[in-house]
Amino acid sequence: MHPDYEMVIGLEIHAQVNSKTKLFSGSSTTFGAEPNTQANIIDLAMPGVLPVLNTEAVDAGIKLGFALKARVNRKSVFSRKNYFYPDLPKGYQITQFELPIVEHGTLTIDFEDGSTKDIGITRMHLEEDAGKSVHDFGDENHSHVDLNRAGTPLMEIVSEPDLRTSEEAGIYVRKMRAILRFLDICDGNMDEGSMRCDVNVSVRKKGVTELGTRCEIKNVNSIRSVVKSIDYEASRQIDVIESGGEIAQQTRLWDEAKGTTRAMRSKEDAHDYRYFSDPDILPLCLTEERIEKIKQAMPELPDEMKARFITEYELTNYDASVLTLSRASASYYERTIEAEEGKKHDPKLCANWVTGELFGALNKMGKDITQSPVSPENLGELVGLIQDKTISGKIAKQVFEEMLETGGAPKKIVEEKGLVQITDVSALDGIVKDIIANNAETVEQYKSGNQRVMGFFVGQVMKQTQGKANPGIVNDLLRQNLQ
Amino acid sequence: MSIDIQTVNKLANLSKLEFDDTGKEEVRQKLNKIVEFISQLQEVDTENIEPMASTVHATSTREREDKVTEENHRDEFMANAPQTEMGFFVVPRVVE
Repeated sequence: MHPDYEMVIGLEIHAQVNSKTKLFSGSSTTFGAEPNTQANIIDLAMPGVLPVLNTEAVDAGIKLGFALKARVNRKSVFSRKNYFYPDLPKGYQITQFELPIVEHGTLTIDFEDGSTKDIGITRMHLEEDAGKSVHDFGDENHSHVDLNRAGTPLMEIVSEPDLRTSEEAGIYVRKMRAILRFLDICDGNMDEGSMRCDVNVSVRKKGVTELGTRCEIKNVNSIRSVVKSIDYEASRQIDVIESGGEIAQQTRLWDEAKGTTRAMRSKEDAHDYRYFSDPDILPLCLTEERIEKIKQAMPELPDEMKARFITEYELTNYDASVLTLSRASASYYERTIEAEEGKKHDPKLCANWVTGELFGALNKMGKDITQSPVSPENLGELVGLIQDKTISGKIAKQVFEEMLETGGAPKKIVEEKGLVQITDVSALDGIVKDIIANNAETVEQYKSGNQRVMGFFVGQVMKQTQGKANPGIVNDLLRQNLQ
Repeated sequence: MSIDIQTVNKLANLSKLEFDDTGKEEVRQKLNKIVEFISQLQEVDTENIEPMASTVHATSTREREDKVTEENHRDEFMANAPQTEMGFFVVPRVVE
């Protein structure tokens, strides 16, 4: 990234409501069904049919409104967005245009250094998805249309252009996905297309307040691609500007294989959607009673859970935010603390083990927390063993490796392998005295002020005890004996 | 406001319609008449009046329970289509 420039990024996320049926018809929304088996007369736009709104999708919208600390509009209106494409049988998409169900929200993103940033949410509206056109099937002069997806309910969430780096954009998408999953209104699977992302990127010289001309990137289907496509697009725009050119407002397509974006259409031939309110659907009016009922039933959300973890477990802001990115990891963590009856494991130590060793190992294996070979009960037990000084942190890592491989219980592993920590002061004192006696030269170095040779002595003790000596006691004994 | 030939071209393109030059001129004149007629509405003072999305004010739109009520009738729908293949509707190639 050129040091004189900054990026301005806004995101549009399409999140599929995990309802059983479509936004305006009783067709099933099950993923992966045989083509065109889940499209009925309404989805196919047969003459004379009328759309009837799915109440579940409306409730999902209200929930998301609360989660984004936004205004839930008591009245919203469905409009027709007109364009011609074979996977849109009606010739228009029913969406919300002037009066969306949700406006003016905020999403807080968390950084590794513990700081946070509020990203504005412009609006969230309900709309129906289009069908799917397949172009790489059969002969090359034809396209194949599957209308199973036509009419599937979507929530389109539009952010303000508040994001400044590709990293921020990645964190934003991850946080949004966490919220959708906590609310249980969208499964957030980007690879199945139930969460999709369009990225708006522009660049400007640092210190400039006006926005540069933006390009919209479509077809970005993973969080990694969000980050990569933004980095590519920003440097493309900077190159154009630096070589004296001008940015043309365009819709561009992300090419995952090549790692580049290419022009799809320019503003001149942009669609004119001729929006108007849909005469088939009355305005959606929400009663205070309905809104209040949903508000009362709101589950604990990532930010609230994070705040609770910080006060209840004294975790750092970042550890708490990492653990609350999914309900599964949060509950895994809480189970490690409560793993053994009548005993509470050190919450900070548990957090270190979950976010450090465990997440690291799972990442390497390409598994998520629900597939962890180490159960939270076993990890909690391991933390318990460190806490009551049965084993040292170093030995614990060895035990953990074994647990990853076998899924075994730490107490049993420690017992079988004879890894219990040596805390017997007199036994350790004997070993320390021996080592000091056999290394007169190094002792001299220490006494003449070279404190760093302390590490050598500790190493010798550990070698003799196969790493089982309690490091605290060894340090104390060495200091006493070297006086 | 009056409709020129460029606007007619744009509208024709958006509506996927094709006209020859005489046809375009005819459409242009007709559209101008319509716009002129509708323009009378501009005389009404709409200051502080909420835009109307529907003529029915009494209730909110109807909602339905999230329950699957439709079955698979693919074969019947496909019987009406000019071309189908392996459960897909087949259309002339469209790639944007």
